[in-house]
Order: sequence, then structure tokens, then C-alpha cells
Amino acid sequence: MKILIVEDEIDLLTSLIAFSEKENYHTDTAKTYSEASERISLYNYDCILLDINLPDGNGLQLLEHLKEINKSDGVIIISARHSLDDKIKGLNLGADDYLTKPFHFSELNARIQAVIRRKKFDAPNIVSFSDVTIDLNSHSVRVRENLINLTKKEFDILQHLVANKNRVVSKTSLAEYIWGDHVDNAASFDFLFVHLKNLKKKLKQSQASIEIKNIYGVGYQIIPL
Amino acid sequence: MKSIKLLTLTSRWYLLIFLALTLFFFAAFFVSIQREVRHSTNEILHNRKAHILEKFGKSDGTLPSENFGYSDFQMTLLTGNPSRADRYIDTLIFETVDQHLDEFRKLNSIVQVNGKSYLLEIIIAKLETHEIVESVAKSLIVVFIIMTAIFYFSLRYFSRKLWAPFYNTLQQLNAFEVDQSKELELTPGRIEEFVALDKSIKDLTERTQKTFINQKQFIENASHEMQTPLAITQSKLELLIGDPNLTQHQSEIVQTLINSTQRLARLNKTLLLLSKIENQQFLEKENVNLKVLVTEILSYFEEQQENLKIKVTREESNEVSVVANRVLVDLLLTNLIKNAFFHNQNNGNVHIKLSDNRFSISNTSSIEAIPAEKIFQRFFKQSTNKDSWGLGLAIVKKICDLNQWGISYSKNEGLHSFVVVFSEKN
Repeated sequence: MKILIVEDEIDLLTSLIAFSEKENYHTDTAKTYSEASERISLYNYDCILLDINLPDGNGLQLLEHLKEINKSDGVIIISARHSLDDKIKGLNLGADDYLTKPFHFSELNARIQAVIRRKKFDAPNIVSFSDVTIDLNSHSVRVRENLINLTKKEFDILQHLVANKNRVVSKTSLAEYIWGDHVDNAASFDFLFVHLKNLKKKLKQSQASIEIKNIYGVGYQIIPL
Repeated sequence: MKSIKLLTLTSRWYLLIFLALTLFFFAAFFVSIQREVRHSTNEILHNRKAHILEKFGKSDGTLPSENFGYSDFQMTLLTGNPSRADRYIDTLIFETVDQHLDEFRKLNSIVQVNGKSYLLEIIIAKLETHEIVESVAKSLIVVFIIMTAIFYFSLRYFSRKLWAPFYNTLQQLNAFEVDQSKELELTPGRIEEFVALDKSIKDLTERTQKTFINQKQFIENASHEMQTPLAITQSKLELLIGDPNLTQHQSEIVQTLINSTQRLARLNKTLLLLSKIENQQFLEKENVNLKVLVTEILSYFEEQQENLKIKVTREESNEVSVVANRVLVDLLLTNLIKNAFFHNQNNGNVHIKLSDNRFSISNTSSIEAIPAEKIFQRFFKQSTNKDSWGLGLAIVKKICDLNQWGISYSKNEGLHSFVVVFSEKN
């Protein structure tokens, strides 16, 4: 899996590189528009993380450039601008997704995976982890062959943890993934705890060989048993 | 102090001045007419004296008359040879016919006829003072009334024309809102004072608008600039929690840092949202089904509902929809519903009512009634929840203002209620 990170902010770039390497992506970076445009001409990427505001040009032009050279790399725009215009423009120019800074790595990761899945033709929309199989289209979960019955929120939590199996997902980012802006932090952690408790119980009942581990109360990670 | 119309005030002063002027003219007329009358009377007396002396000189020396009863003069023989200038005096003589003292003018003159000295007195009836006063007053009162009437009506007529630009400016100023980019349309006409006034007002409003726009721009730019450092902080912290060498204690510190960063990020996002609403960046309108939207939003609050055992009741007559920007309607309803759940109490209620063009929501709460003028202010908060900034209802108000929808708050029998009235146009 090859990824290009286009970002001029060094501190953020190093974070993104660390993130990307943890996911075992092959990572290339570009700090300027010209660097990025050179790279996309030379190589093919599964996904490009694109910052719009670059010192020597607008990231949106890069999308146009991709189109010109007939490449269909997946692109996720990462912007500090919370602008609807940029989003619409970007998506119209062929970007696959739009993420506003600041973002959670788990969220970015989920989106990268979605983009890559979409780019693979006729790939079944199925994610599996250990003996658990998640069908993203029908929203069903099987442990080995047995269907288990999860609520929508339990499903979302499981799927998000599986997508981020290589990392600890912070409680904050998990809560935001599920409720967006609809709840406040303090309350949402309690609610999250209840959902996780139920999810763990169901997984245990169906004898799934995975476990959701609580990391010092900071976050959760899904691990195979 | 009670205010008074400029026109009324100036009219009052003018009337006072008129009155004073009239009194002055009255006095002046009176004095000058009186002088004129006396002068001409004296002349008549003088002429009469000449006639009498002429007649008397030709006669045999007997006095022509004994007293005024029969004639307008009398002559008295004087002894010695006194000499004196003629004297004109006012005198009162009792008139026996109407039992009344009449005013007369009298000439006292010492004359020499045939070597003898006589005192010659001639009288003449005089135009009486009160008659002069009366006639002068009469004419002046008429003049005063006519002038006042003309003054009053012309002032009313002209002032209406003259002040028209002023009232136009006033009307525009009343309708002026700093957050709207609409410029004032002032028509000062050709009156210098109004031209100057309108110019000042225009400058002032333009400056205010400019400042306001800069302020908005500043908030938006500052918020945008904060996004990248926030992203860096958040990303580093998230990398840190994945570190297997982290101790329990360190993890707890990281957790609080993550929470604070998250709060900052959300506050920033909310401020950006507010300025985006103000900058009218949500323009596309569509038909939004409110019933479906409410159901969807409620699903986000299931946990809170179960947690506090809140009873939710809904009352919907039919499919209610509104033509507006979906994002904004979602935000509006979400904020109101969120409010109803998060300021609720154990075993409380939330009642949602949707009818033709109104959405109302009421909830139980231990919070006291909040002054209506404060509740929609930014950063006004009643709860002690540190995750609430008091921006939710400010956003609600902004969205309603933008769409010209009515929003009202009330508290009745322990129920806090909000009512949104979507305008008739929808």
C-alpha cells in the first residue's frame, strides 16, 4: 500500500509519517506543490493525503494535474480551512474525501481504508479480523459462521476498532466517531462505556477470539486472542 | 426630561417674540400717534387764536364771550403788563350733558389788544387717549392673529418639506443593521446641514460595518490559524497513547491533554461555524422534512434519555417540511434538542410539537427561568457543565435571524419552552 503525504507543516508531517508507518503503508512525502507534482507524475499511489495550502501553490491544482495525466489515485484533502466551497471544489475535481484539521488518526485511517476499498474494483466490502468478519454493506457481523446481533452503535464501535487494529483508539475519537458533535465529552465517555460493555459481552458469548482492551482508560485497542 | 418637537419649540419661541414685538409696536404707535394728535391740535389752537385776535382787534373792545359754556374761548383782562410765551395744556372739563369729564386741549396765551393785556384761553376737544389705545390695539391684534396664522401654517408646510430628508435618514438608521452589508440609501437633497449630517452618518455606518467585517474576518482567520497547531498537538498526543512504554500515570496526563485539546478544537469549530453562518456561507436551500430530521437527531440522544429516564413525547399533525439550508436546519434542531436533554433532570420530560409552520420543544429542568434577553447571548451559560460554552443558543438565534424565523423562550410551570416559527413564505 503506497501513500503520498503532501503537507508543508513539518510537525504535522512527522506525525503523519509515524502514523502511516505504523499502518505499514509505504510512505512518500512532499512539502511543496512542485515536489508533489513531480512525485505523482513518476509514481502511482493508492492514496494521497493532500494539504490544500502549500507554499508554492494550491493543492486543488494538483487534482487538476492528476486528471490531466489520467491518474486515478485516491485523494483525501486535509485542510485547515473549514470551507464548504473548498470541499465542493475538491470533490468536484476528483478528490475522494475531505478532512478538516484537527482530525483523529483513527478517523483518517478509516477514511484511507474506505478510499482504498473503493478504488479496488469488485472487492467485497468485507473486513475481517481474527475469526470475526464484518460486512460493511449489510452491516452484519459474523464470528466464524455465526451471525451476531449488534446495535448500530456497537457495530460502529467494532468496525472502527477493527479498522484501527494497529493503534490505540482514544476514547475521545471513538466518541466523536459515533456521536459527532451531538454530545459533550464527559457524558459521552459514560455512554461509550455502556456500549463497549455490551459489545464485549456479546463477543464473549459468541466465543470470538478477539478482545477489546482498555488501555489505561485512555483508549481502546482490539487485539486477537 | 420630556422631549419636544423642534417645530413646536421654535414655534413657541417665535410666538413669544411676536407677542413682544406686538407689544412694543403697540407702545410705539401709541406714543407716536399721541404726539401727532397733540401736535395737530396745538396747530388748530394756534390758528384759532389768530382768528380770534383778528376779530377782536376790529371790534369795539368788549370781550366776545364770558366763558367756555358758549364758546371755545374766553378772554380775561389782566392788570399790569405781564408777558409770557403761549402754553398748551391738557385739561378736563365737566360736560353737563352726559355728566362726564371730557378731555380737552387748552391754549393759554397772553395777548395785547389795543394796548391792554388779556389772558386768552382757547379749548378744543381732543381725541381721547383710551380711544387711541383701543384703535391701535384693535388693529395690532388683527395683525398679530393674521401673522401667527400665516406663520403657523407656512411653518408646518415648509417644515414638512424641509425635514423630509431628515426623517428619511432617521428611518434608514432605524432599519440599519451592522451585520448586513446593505448600504444606507440617503437622499439629503440640497440642504447643507442635512448633506453634512448624512455624510457623517454614512461615514460612521461604513466605518462600523468595516470594523464589524474585520472583526468577523478576524475571528474566522484566528480560528483557521488555530486549526493547524491543534492538529499537530492532537496528532502527537494520539501517537503518544500508542506508545507501549507509557506508564499508567503518564497515560492519565495524556488523557487530560487530549480532552483539553478536544475541547479547544470543538470551541474553535463552533466559533468558525458561527462566523460561517454570519458570513452567509450556507446558501443552498432544499425541502427538509422536519419529522424525519427530528427522529434522526433524537437517535443521538438515546443514551442521555435512558440515563436520566427522560420521557419523550412527540406531537406531529402531518408531514412538516421547510425550505431552507439542510445543514442549518439540522444545527438549529440539534441545538434545541440537545439543550432539552442536557439541561434535563431525572425522570424528566421532553415534549416536541411539530405543526404547520412551527417547531416547539419543552423540557423539565431544575434551572430557574432565564431572562429572555440573555438566553441567546454568546457565552451566556447557566449550567456548570464545563463542556458547554453557551454558544448553542447563540447559533440557534443566528440561524433564525438569518432565515427571518421567529424564536421565543418561555418558562411555565417548571417547563422551559422554545418555539421556532418558520416564516409564512415557507
